[in-house]
Formats: sequence, C-alpha cells, structure tokens
Amino acid sequence: MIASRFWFGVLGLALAFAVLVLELAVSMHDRLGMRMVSEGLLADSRVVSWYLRNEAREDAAQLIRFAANDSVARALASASRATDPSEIDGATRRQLKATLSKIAAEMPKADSFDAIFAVAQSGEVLAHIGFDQAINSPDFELGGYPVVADALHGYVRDDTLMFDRLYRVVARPVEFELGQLPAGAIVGAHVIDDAFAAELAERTSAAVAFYAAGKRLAAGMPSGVDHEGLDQLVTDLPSLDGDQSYKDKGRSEVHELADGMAVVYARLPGEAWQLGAGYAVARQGYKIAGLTGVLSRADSKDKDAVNTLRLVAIALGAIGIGLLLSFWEYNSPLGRFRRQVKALSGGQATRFAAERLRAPFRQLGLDLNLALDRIARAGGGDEAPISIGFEQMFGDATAQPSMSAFGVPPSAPPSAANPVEASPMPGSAQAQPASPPRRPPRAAAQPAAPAPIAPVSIAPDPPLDPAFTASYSGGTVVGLGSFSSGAGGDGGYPNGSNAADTAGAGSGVSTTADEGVNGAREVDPEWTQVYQDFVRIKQDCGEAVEGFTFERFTQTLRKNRDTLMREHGVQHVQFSAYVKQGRAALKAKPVRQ
Amino acid sequence: MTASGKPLRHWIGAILGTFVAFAPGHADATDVKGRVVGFEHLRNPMWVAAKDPERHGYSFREPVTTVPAAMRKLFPQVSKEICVVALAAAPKAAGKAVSVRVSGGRTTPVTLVVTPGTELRFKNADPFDHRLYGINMTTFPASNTAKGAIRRWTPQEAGRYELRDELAPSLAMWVVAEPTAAAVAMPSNDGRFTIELDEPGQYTLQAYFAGEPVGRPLPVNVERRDVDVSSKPLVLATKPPVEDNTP
Repeated sequence: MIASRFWFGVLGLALAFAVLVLELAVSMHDRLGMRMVSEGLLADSRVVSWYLRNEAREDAAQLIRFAANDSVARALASASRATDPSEIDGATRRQLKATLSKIAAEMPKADSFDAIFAVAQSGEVLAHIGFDQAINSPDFELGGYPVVADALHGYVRDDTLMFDRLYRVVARPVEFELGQLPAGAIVGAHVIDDAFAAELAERTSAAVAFYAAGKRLAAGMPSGVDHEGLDQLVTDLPSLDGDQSYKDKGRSEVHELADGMAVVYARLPGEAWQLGAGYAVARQGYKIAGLTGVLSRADSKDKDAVNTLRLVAIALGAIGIGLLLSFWEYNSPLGRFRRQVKALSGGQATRFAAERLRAPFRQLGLDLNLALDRIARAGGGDEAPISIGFEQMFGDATAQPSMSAFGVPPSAPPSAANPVEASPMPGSAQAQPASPPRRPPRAAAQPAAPAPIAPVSIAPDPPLDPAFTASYSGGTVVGLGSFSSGAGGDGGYPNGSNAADTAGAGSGVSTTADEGVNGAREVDPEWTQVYQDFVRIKQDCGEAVEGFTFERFTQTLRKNRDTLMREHGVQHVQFSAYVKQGRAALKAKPVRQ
Repeated sequence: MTASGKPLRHWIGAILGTFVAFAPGHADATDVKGRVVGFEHLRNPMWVAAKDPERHGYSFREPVTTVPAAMRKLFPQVSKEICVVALAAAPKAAGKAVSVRVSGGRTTPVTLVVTPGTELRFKNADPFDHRLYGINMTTFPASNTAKGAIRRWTPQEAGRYELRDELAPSLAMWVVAEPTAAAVAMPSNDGRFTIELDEPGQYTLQAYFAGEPVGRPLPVNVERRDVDVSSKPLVLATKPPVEDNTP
C-alpha cells in the first residue's frame, strides 16, 4: 500500500506541476500576445498619422489646380479690392462656383474633395461647392480660422476643423499678382465620416475610429475584421482624462477593452486637438483567458502540433506503473503467507511467524496461532470457538498499559517486605510474569496449590463496556473460563472443579478470588487458562508481560464479572482471550442458566 | 463685378446718395474722418498662437515662396479687428444695440468698444452651432447659439471682457466697456475710417486691437462741421513684433 500511495502522490504532484506549467504558459502567452498587439497598435497609430499627414500634403498639391486657375485668381482679386463684400455681385460668385465645379469634375475621384471654398482676402467665402449647408448663409466666411488666415498670408497648411461635422482641411493661397498679398485662398475639405475611415482603413490595414466630444463619429475596419468592437470606444473615452501620455504626447498607452480588444488613442492635429477630437486604432488581443481557453481556442494547426504518441505513452506508463505496484503489493504479502502455510503444512514450522507478515496477514497469523493452540489443548478435537459477539471488555485497557490492570506496572517492583509476593512462580524466571496456578488435572485438582502471585501496582480498572448482547449460542467455548456466583458450588464449572478448590491452589496469601476458605478470595479455575491464553497472546503480539500478575488479572475479572452479573442478572460470565487489532484483549459473556 | 458695371444700379445709388445728403436726417451729426497706419505690424494673437507647433494645430505648415516674406505675416484683418473709438470728456449714456456677426471662426468686429449698458446682439451666421462664453464671467456663461439665432448680452460695468467659443477654439472677441466712448468706427481695408459724432466737443481718437488700446491717442476738436484728420493718422505700430523672427 505504501508504494501505491507514493505513486498516487507522484501522480498528484505531476498533475499539479502540469497545471502550474499550463497556467504559466497561458500567462506568458497572454502577456506576449498583448505586447505584440501593443506594438502593432503603436505602429498602426503612427501609420494612420503618417497617412493623414501625407494625405494632407497630397490634397495641398491638388489644390494647385484651383489656385493656379486664372479665373479663380481673377475673381478673388476683384472681390478683394471691394471695400464691402456686398459690393461683390452675384454673377461673379456664380462664375467662380462654376469654375470650381469644373475643376473638381476634372479631378480623379480618388483625389477629389468633399467641399471646396474660395475665400477672399477679407475672409468672405466667395463661392463654395459641396457645402450646401451654407447656401443660405450669405455672410458665411472662414477668415477667422488659423488655417485660412495662414493661407491668406502666404502659407499652405492643414487643419482639422469641427463644423457641423469633423473636417480634414487644407488651404493654400491664391496669387493674382506676384509680389503682392495673395488675392485669396482656396480651401479643400474632407468630411471625416465612415467612408473616409473605411478608405483609410483599407489603405493602412488598421481598424480606425474617429471621435470628438465623447462621441464616436466614424469608424472603418479592414476587410474581414469585425466592426462591433469599436463601439466600446465611447465607454472608454473618459479614461483618457487620466492618460498622461495622451495629454502630453497626443498618443495614449494601450487601453484594453472588453473581449480582448486593445486600443491606442491619438489626437487629431489641428484645431480639433483642443476639442478632444482624435482617432483610435484597435486590434483584437489574443488572450487565452484561462485553462479552458487553451482547448477552446486551439485550431487544427495547434492540434496537429500535439505529439499524440507521447501523450499515449505517458498515460500508459502511468497506468502500468500503478498496476504493477498494486500487483506487487497484493501478491508479495500473500506469497509470504502462502509460504508460511506451506511450511506449516509441511511440518517445517509449528506456528505462524506473525512478525514476518504484514498487517492483514499478521492478524490472520495470530488468530491461526490461537486456533492452533486451542485445538492442541482440546486434544485435537474439532470443537470450534464460538463467537459470543460481545464488545471487547479490556481492549482499551491494553491500549493504555499504564492505566490498565493488564499493562506493565510503571514503577512497582515486587515488595521486599512480603517474601511471598516477591517469590517467583515455580518454573518461571524472575523476569517473567507471575504465572497463574496451572489448572490441575481433573483427578488432582483439589490438592494443587496455586502459584505465588507477584504484587502489582494498583491502577484504575479498565472500563467495562456495558453494551453486549445477551444471546448465547449455547455451544462450548474453547478456552473460555466461566464463573459461578455460587461460591463453592460446582454448577458453574464446566469441568466440574469448584472455586474453593481453585482458590486453595493459590499461595493462600494473595489469591484474588472472592473471600473463601481461610479468608482467601476464590478464583475461578478457568481463569487460570484465560490468564495463560492472555499472556501467550500478549507475547505473540510482541507486548510486554513483565509484572503482569495473575492476581491483578483476577481482580479485574472479578470486578467486571460482578458488574455484569449485577447489571444483567446472570449467574455466569465467561471470559476469553483473543487478538484485537494486533493486541491481546478479553471478551466477557454473561451466561444465563 | 462691382456696381460700376451696372448702370441702373449706379443711377439708383446716385439718387439715393443725393437724397441722403440733403435730407435733414441726423441733426447736428458731425463726421470725423481719419486713417490708421502701421497695422501691418500688429499680429493676431490667436493666429500667432495657432502656428506654435506645441499646440499641434497642423501636421504641416509651409510658406509659399512666391508670396513676399513681408506679406507672410499674420497681421490682422483691419476692417474687422481694429476698432477706432472717439472718447468724450465726460461719460456717455448707453448707446443703441450693436450687432455682432459670428462666423468663420471669429466675430465681426473682433474688438468692440461700447459704453456700459449697451446691448450686444450676437448673430450666428454659420450653418452650425456656436457656444460663446465669457472668460471669468458669470454674466455670460457658455450657451448654444444655433444657426441664424441671436444671443444678447449687455456689459453693465466698465472693463475689458474676453469672449470665446467652446466649439471654435480660435474664436476670440474682446469687448471694452468704456464710459466715455462716444462713437466707434471700423476702418476699411486701406485703414480709412469715419466716425459720426452727435455732439460737438473735445474728443480723443483711440484705436483698439485685441481688446487693448494701440498707438497714441489723437485729440480732436469737433465743432459743427466735419473734420478730416487723415493727415495725422493713428499710428498703431511702428515696427514688427519680436515674434516675427519665427515664420
């Protein structure tokens, strides 16, 4: 059993180690995955930034088509000479608008603008296309915006403005006479909407969303990428208030949204920067999310990479080792027992060497030794002991020898003042326990004198288990002693001896039976056999028997006998020695007559 | 192109001009004509701030070399940003309501001098909302002004007020509540202006830019006839500011 338990421990440790490795692998995978996603997001954000800048430059170049047009320059120059915008007639405005439309129509669609504005030097919008919101606004102007002011003062630049929607704007001056202040400016604008974002996403392969004032304005995803993940931006936008990198550099750290979506925010260049407008690039993080995710997220390639043969070999090896250990543990003690049985049957041994057997077989060996002894005492008869079904009477006492009447006295050497007590039993060594008086032969039982009994220390009596069954099998009990309450009678002795005779067999000084002849306490003659059985079993079980006296033994039997007789109204109590859990113990059986 | 190309409109204008000239109209009104110079040395503070790369106002900003460097300066639009005021010797009563147009990332006028108690009417001429507010002012909190809508506000006490727009960060307007302000005028693109005064008396002409007086004041003695002080223009600045060293 030890080996299999050890194997179970090994398997448990191996399982814990496997879980440890798996959890570490999952954590490392998630961490490295997020790092890769973060690096990818930062790259995406820079790519989008470069795209916006490059797109603005290309747009500025496309505006040359308008700025270099003579009709446009002439119209703006004449308008700029007017002292009041109201002096500019409608025909000039219409002609300018037609020119703008014509130029825009000639542009490739990929380079076209959503809106074009022709702005006079005073800032008034002289004509515009693609911005129908301002058709009914005759006083509409753009001169206050820095991007337009820069263009009116000789600069070309871009900006991001918030009108009714978010616009990417680029402006450049329109010159009519060299060496003079520009006649006006031409302004091109792109609406930042889903179409703009989708085109940007396709060109940069980045999932991008634009936001302003806490709202998502547009979003674009590359082909094959889910669009819904970017809807979570709105709930995460307030967290930008605490992002120092976003405040200082205009680009945030990586933000993790639900479902593993990771996002990097960046501000849009231009006036929209101050309005909190920006764009976000997103990527789906590859998180395993726990041990179960390993199985659920593994694809066919992952499964193909698993060495199935190795897994099967490990499983079979573990099973084989377990079976081998179980087989060995089962057969090894059985083999020893079998060998002893063969030795016993072959005459090489007369008893089981119980100390060589393991726990379950050791008990069997002890019981068989006891049975062999009883058979031998019964002259080879075939009477079998009868289980009387009583609780152990003194079992607990044997477990606590220092408190038991049957245990080794802790410090009670034989009294020197009583030479009789100090005298050893006849035929016994000094160190051996005091032997009880041998049960005399039927014919010579009366004159037999009991052996002297060594004094014992007084210890508390072991508790008597009151639980018992009163049923009596009615058979003869081999090795059982019996006691009759009628002192001097012979009805209680199966072998026909009486208690007075047995008591007389003692030393006459410290016999342990009831007060009988000459003041000695009577001793059930069968108790001698019970005592001998008990001592032999203790020796077989490897228990110490030094100082274990017959006197103390009979005292305890007597007390328990009296208690049982009183409580159960019986006249006889039979005692027997047996082995319980590898230790000597006694049974008591009240007998009704 | 202009009205000169339209004979009918020209004749109508001439007839109306004659009618206005001989009409009794404004009793005792006197015009003071003058001009401002040196405004090309002023710099619009909002535009100058916007060109600072630290403000991330653009991804690229490059000069067009065919435009002379002297022209590539962010001087103000004089007709909208310079306000010439005639200051009387004694405080004046609140004037008529003044209309202020909000459009194109600025107000027109950008700087305005009025007497305390004069109502200002901000009309949104843009096709989208504006949200004007006064800096450190409780009397002019941020509030939406829809397309075509008018918002009213009256400065009750003398002082300088700065107004901004939450939806257009580059928009800034300065209102100067000056008790002695008798009349104001916005110069034309060439710097000429005409101030109409109701009463004769001793006045001082002062130009304001970005909410602050610029140039030296010019005393004017107004009697019952028009006065032309164009020969002694208001010099707003004599040299460019230091920040011009950066393009």
